[in-house]
Amino acid sequence: MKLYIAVGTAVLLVMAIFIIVFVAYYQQKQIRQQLILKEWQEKYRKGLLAATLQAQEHERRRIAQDLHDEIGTMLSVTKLSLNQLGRTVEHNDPGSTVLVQKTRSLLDETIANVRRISRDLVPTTLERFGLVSALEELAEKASNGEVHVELSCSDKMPTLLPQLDLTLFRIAQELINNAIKHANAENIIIDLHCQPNGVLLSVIDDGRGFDLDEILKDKKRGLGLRNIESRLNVIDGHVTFDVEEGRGSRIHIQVKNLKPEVEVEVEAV
Amino acid sequence: MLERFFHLYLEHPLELTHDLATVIPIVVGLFYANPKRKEIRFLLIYFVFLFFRNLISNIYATYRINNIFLYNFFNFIEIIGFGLTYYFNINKSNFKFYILIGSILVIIINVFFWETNEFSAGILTLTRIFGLSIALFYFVELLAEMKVKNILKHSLFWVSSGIIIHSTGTILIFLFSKIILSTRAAPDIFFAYWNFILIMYIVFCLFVSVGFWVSKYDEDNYA
Repeated sequence: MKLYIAVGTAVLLVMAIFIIVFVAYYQQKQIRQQLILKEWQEKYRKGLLAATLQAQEHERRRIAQDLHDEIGTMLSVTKLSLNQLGRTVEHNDPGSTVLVQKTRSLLDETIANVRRISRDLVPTTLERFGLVSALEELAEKASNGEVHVELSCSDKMPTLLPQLDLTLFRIAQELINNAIKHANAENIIIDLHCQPNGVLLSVIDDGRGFDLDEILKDKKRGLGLRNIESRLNVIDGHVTFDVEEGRGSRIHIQVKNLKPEVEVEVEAV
Repeated sequence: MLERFFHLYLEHPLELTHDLATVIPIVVGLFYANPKRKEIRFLLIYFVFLFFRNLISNIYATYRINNIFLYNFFNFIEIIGFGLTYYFNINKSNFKFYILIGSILVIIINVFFWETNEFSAGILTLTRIFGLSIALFYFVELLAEMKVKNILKHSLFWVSSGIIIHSTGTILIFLFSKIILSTRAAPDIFFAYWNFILIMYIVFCLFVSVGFWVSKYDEDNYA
């Protein structure tokens, strides 16, 4: 009997140890699998997001091309016809000359607008001359009598991947637009600096600021900021919002540059 | 009196190791465990009670007074201690309910098995079954929910493992305690099994100490 108790206890103990080892092993294995699955899902989500952004850029390019090639051309032809009509009307019906001139000025305005929209849709300066030039142009365009936009950047900026260039440009565009439109900022500084293995883009304004949590909660309002986060997600970038209602905002974007660096001399503004 | 006290320890060195083993989880729990976690606090209180039980039991032994009822009585505290430990760590309300009902039921049944002068096979076995059941249920829950990132850094995994090893190692001995742990049992048989119970208890203390030690990682260890 006593021997049976000893053997029984030994068997139970072996079973207990087996259960403990099995639970530890199985749980770790499951957790590893879950991690792999999460990584895969994250990768898939990023891929999907990247594809969406790429499709968005393609669509912008197509619309810009259509505007330039088709509507722009049609408008130019219309302007030519109007000029001919103007000359005819000038001789036959001098009273209608004012109307023709008015129509011509409206047409000029339309052509200019089509050109502007077409240029805004595709940042050609970015593609031709790089991020710094594109940001310079952006700052210049955004500046007017009421708003002053200034670009400050490192003397030597590394050449970034085209995708990074575009992302940073679009983010800067969105932030400047927000600062002017929503925060009523008068002075905006775009700060672009290179860091070891990356680039730091800061957009600082003296506007009225905003409550980040409130904006992000509101699905209709926080679209631009969410878009920034999505764009950065694709390139493993980070955004830091140093914002508060009633004071200027400081938004910092940090991205890693994966391309071997080729430094380009840039004249600091 | 003190001379006899030390003589008992010299005669049974494993008893001394057993008593010292109780101090390890208390020290680790007081200085290294995460005091924010309720289950850790309950287990710590349980071990403080255990320390005093051992102390009183040794004093009784020195004066040659029956101390077996202390071991029987302590099972009630063990049920409450384990019950509370798991009750506050489980989120599922039905599991909480089972623990509550199980604890009350085992305590009520144990009352009917009460014995003062002998080890109560009923109380000791039922308490082991109760401990074993909730520890195994917890393991099932752990595998089903997958809420812990690293199980080796999860306090209740070590505590549950300790309970399982302690319970499986002693359940048959306590079940047949009428034969091997009774006053009528041969001393060599009694001490062989009694020492084995003490070893199992030391292992339990070590496992709980590891559990207390890793409890500092608990907060960040949830997925």
